[in-house]
Amino acid sequence: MSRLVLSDFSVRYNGTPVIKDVSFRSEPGELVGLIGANGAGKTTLLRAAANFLRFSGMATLDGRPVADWPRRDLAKRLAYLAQGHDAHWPMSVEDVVGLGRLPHRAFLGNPGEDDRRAVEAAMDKTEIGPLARRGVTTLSSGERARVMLARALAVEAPLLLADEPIAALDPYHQLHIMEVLKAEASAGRAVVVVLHDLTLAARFCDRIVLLSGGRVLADGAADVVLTETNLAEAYHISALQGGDGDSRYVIPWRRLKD
Amino acid sequence: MLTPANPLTRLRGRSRFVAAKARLRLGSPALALALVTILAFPALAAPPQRIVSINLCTDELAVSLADRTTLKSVSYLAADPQESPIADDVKGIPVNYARAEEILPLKPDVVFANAFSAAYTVSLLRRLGVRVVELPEPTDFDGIRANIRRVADILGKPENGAALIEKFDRSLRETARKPGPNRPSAVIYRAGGYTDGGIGLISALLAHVGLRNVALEHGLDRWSHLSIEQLLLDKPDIIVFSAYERETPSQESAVLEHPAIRDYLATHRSLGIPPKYWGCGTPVIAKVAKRLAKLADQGPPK
Amino acid sequence: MTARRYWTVIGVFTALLIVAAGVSMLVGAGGEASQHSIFALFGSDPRLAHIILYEVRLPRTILGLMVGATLGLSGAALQGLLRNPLAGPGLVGTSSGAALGAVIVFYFAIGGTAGALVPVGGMAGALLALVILYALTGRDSNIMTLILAGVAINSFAGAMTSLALNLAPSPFAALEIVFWMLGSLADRSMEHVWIALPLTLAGWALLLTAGRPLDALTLGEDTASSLGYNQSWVRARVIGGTGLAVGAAVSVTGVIGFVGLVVPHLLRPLVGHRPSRLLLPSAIAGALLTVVADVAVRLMPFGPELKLGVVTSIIGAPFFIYLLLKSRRAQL
Repeated sequence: MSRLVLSDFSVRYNGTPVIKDVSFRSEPGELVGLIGANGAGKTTLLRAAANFLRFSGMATLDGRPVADWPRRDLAKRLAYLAQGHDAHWPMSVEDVVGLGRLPHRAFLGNPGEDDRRAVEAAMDKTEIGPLARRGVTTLSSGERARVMLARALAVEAPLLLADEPIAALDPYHQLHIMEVLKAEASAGRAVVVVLHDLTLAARFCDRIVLLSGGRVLADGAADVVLTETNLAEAYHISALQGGDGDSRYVIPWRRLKD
Repeated sequence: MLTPANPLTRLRGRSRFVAAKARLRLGSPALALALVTILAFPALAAPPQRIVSINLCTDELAVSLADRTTLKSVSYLAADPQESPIADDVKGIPVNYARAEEILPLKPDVVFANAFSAAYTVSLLRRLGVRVVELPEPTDFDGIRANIRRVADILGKPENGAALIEKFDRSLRETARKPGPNRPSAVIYRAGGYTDGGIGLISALLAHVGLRNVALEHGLDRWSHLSIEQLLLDKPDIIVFSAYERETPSQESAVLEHPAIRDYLATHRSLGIPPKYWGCGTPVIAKVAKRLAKLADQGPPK
Repeated sequence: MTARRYWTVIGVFTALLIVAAGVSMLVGAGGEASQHSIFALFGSDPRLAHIILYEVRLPRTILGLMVGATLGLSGAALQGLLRNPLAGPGLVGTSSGAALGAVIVFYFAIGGTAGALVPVGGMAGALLALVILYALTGRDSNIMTLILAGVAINSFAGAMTSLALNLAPSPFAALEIVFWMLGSLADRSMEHVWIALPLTLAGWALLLTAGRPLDALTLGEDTASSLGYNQSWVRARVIGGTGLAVGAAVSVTGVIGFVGLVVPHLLRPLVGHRPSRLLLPSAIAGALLTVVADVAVRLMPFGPELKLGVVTSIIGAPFFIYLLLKSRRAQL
């Protein structure tokens, strides 16, 4: 069954509609790329789906309305990777990744075997093992991005929503993170990732959803979505495209005067 | 601690003490109860032999009215010659800083305090069964007499009280003057430009020596602010202020450093009262009356 | 940051606290006379020694512990909530609200023993400040709004307190209020302990259980929400707990500053910077600092007693400046 389903989904911000009647699905085993221009509503959509914002319409997780899930249960099923890599206190990397286990931790008491195993697995996947004892604020952005992803992976939730996890990362780390996300999807998770890089979206995502002006402009495989018309309408650009499958490239080329 | 200051409470505390002692000695609760009932009237009880005062104003009364041997401690301010008119009188008496731990070992029969002093200490002492008598701040001469009478009664020396009141009244009589259109005007001027207005003892003194209190003419009948402008416009003949020793800078003297005031003082009469005569509502205030009367007798300005 | 290190920190501070409390029971607050050993007094006059120990020194020590723990704990919790190491219980307006409530009672009950109603006034003031804080910040507000609301409440409470002083019936009354606000533990009784205890414990319960939500908050509000913590509830718990406990404390002792700021700040590196691990150690160390400062107050050469709030400010203000300089340097 679908992990996450949104229908007639609308969100208002201070009275202004930001998301308008959106339909959206995220299936297990699928890496969905959520793309669109700045201000198109990608982050808002994700935040509302995670129940941080009020919305109208329907949003269900595993068939049950998101708002009906008890907080803790929702937290075990939906992992959210926020934009930016905020870590306010210089906690150790290990402790930060360990925070991902909070929804699973018993009321009192120390982390158990399951928790340790999950943390270790998450750190292995993101290759941050050697950094375990470092203070998280002493890391480079690439390292920090991986730590935050590891934290989200440690939740071991069936659904992962990631908001721009590769922004401001160098190409190496961008590829690494996309690979990790793809592997998660292949392992059976439902993963939604917001990103700007059209090539990475085309190469790694099973499905792409293009948002424009708060509405879904296109939803489907890369070929279907990343057409000249769509790119012109959503981004006001034309792109240099070619290749297919893993060699697909989409390079923003020219701005279009409107 | 948290019981209101009514006599019954005080009684209970003191009687509790006595009852406990009685029970220990006589071994019979019934007899102890009888004793308590009899002792319910303070006038019939033995006069206190161990007296402690924790406030300068009550120190003055205690020193005037009690046998010196019964006075076990006075407040530390009493020994300060700048603050206290009885500094010489209390030489040799241990001082206290109004702390429960100092006072308890003295085992006082009665502790005298001012209505505003050391609320927590007073509460704690009462809670522990110590008799604490709080004296209100007098606002007129009758208030002073009432305090004297009360302390004297509690000390079991009503005759000392009567004598002190008589002495006070006598010096007041000497300094009484009739008010009249030819009498000079005066104002009390304190730090920050405050005046006592029509209330308080200093104002009563002004009225007593027949001076016109300029503040009253503005309808200021309480502690209030009098601006320098207003003061200069009112042109009081005499300014009464509180004078610290010259070496000690203070807000009091600062206000008088204002050029306009200094200029005014150079051409008008003024009376600086040392704080030791001005802080407490005790008979020592008669000294102030004397000096005021002398100043007032110089007649209106030409 | 291992569990063993955490418990070592707690163990060490608890041991120090027990020693400090013991010393506090042995140090007199009555000038020269009481510096003579309490043991000697037990020999000569056991009843008096008993009274002094249990009715004068014990409440003072217990209140020092309670108030210090409250300040340390609420400081740690607020720094976790606001994600700012410069936050303290004074920030959200509870201290000044409690002080204002107490001052109002002083003002109207002047002339009689104000004792019983003062704590009631103080707690009412603290809780009212909280209610106003909530009215100002609403539910979905962010940290900035919270801080600004706290500033507004502090300013207002300060202005009202000044007004009360201004309109005080006599200079003595005003002076009494001013001295009270400087903060002191002198001559408090067991009755004060019982009065302050229920709300203090309630506040502690709210604060001590806020550890995990505060850990989650390290990563931002959205992440913390996704980990299952309702942000409004977390805010309510920390602020409510602070209001209750600090309100109770201030109403009995006046305003004692800087403990809530200094203690968590110093302890943070010792507990691996984890907000949840900061709570209990801050409570213990806060109690320790307050009791030690109060002992210092009693050991000062005699004269009118130095106010506890003054002593903590003398420690705290230079520390605060040092913090500011350090954080500025870190930004350069």
